[in-house]
Amino acid sequence: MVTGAVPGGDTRAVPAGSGDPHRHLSALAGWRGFTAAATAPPRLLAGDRYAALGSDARAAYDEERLDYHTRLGVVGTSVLRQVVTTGRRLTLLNRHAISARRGLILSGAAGTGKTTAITQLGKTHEATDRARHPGMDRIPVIYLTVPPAATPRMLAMEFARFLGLPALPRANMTDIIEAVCGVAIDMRVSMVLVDEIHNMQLATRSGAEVSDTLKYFSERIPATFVYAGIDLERQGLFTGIRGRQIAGRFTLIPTLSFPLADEWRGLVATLEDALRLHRHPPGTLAGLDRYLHQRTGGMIGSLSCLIRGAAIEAILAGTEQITRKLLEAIDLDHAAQQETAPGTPAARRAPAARQ
Amino acid sequence: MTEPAAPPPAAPLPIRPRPASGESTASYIRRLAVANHLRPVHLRRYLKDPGNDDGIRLSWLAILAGRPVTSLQHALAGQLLPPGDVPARNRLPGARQQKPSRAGMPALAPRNAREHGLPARSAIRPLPLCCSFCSKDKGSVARLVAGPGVCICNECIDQCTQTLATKAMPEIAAWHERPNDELLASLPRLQAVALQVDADMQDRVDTLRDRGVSWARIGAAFGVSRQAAWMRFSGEDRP
Repeated sequence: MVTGAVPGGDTRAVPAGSGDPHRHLSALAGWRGFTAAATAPPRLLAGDRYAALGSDARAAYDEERLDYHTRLGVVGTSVLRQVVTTGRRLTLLNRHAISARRGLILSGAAGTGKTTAITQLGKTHEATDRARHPGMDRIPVIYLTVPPAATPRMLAMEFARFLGLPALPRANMTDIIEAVCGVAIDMRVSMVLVDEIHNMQLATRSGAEVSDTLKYFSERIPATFVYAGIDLERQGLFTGIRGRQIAGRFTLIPTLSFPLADEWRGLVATLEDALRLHRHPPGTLAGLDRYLHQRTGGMIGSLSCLIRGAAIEAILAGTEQITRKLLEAIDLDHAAQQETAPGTPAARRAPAARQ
Repeated sequence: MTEPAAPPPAAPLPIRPRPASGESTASYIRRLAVANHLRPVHLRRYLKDPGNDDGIRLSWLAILAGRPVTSLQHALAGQLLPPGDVPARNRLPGARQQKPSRAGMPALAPRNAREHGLPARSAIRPLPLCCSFCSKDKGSVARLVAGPGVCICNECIDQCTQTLATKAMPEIAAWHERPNDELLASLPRLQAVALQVDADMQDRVDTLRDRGVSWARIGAAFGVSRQAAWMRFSGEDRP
């Protein structure tokens, strides 16, 4: 299932092809661009027509394919499907809730597809909302990332920044929160996605205050809150009084590295099907599934990065096919490089090396 | 005390009401702030041009409103002049009808106005102007002369002149001797006069505030505290 285009990984994803610094996913314009984007794969020219292209036309054609391979769509993993169905169920459950709304937490190692899953959930929700209320100016989804060493004010400013509310001098915390909640209610926000929640350390005082602020936002804004972060169970997100309240209201979906099983082979085959290379024999990557698993430690983010990197190399070098030799030449992220044996607990304990 | 330099706005505000034609810039900024649940005073200060005491940064306002600068200049025409150049509010009484802010503004029903996020006081403002004596609006009389908050039409002036010339007061029963129906019918007319006076007072206070006159002085002019004056005229206590 190739539904759209977003690069995997836990860094802030930017829609490709946009040089505007304000088009981050964590700003309304960037988010709207992302949810409206539907990239069709470019048509592959027949061999003789490709050979007959002039140098300019060939450069343009290759550029289009390079652009396509930098994103290469989203693969529908079992976790992604679970997140989307659970998220939809919770939004319906929360529709008439007046307090104690239910939420969703995604927790797992870096590179297991958390950001991809929650952004796809947001995209699905936004599409549903647009279909239900066509032509109306609504903001159904807010997406933000918790800044490192966050304070409550920084968190409130992230909300304000997404909505496009300027940082007014002399505005205090209460003013910012009032503006955010007022606009969120007026614009019918019904889902709030909070990424990088591991930046909120409940053990520290400012972290606890950030948690309380987030809790306050969730009381004021009638929306389903979805959190994603690295290894949240181990970080003490569910301990203490605050933790117990979070644990009592949120469904936890763990994202794990994939075992070398049928689903992994399916993922590799889907990614291979999405390739648009001229001389790539179908089934090559499917045959290399064990090698790919060993290379990436079963991380979907690393797999996607590896195959996309190899595809771009293949276009730039003109070989137009992905071989094991080419794959070996691609450097991977530190977490995946450290993997020696697939499926070891080390895969789930991987430190935040990709941050 | 100098304010820390604020960064220019990065994106338009999420809720962007349309500027009404002939509306004053101050009023538009207030509506923009109220619609987005911001404090009007903060937004006004944010948009203030540090180089020019009375000016606002129109380019910033254009970003926030999500409209081109030219369209704002067009809609808020005549209001962006420096105050030295005859601000529309400050003309002599009698020249009221020529004001673009009144004559050009479409009459809004109160409910309609509330939906557009207008402050409550503008919402109950009676439009167009009418004679404070006979309640005829300016369309149905030949001339209407405006005073501070009140107006009189040529017909009522004629009647007054005749009354004064004959030196005989016509026989009219005092109001508390009139029948119920007549008293009830007179209430909306009285209310219209009161609203007209209120609106004029609000306009004058707004102008004084735009010129930087303190709430303390405005309160002193009314014989109340600055807090009471702020509560009554700032428009910031309303949701």
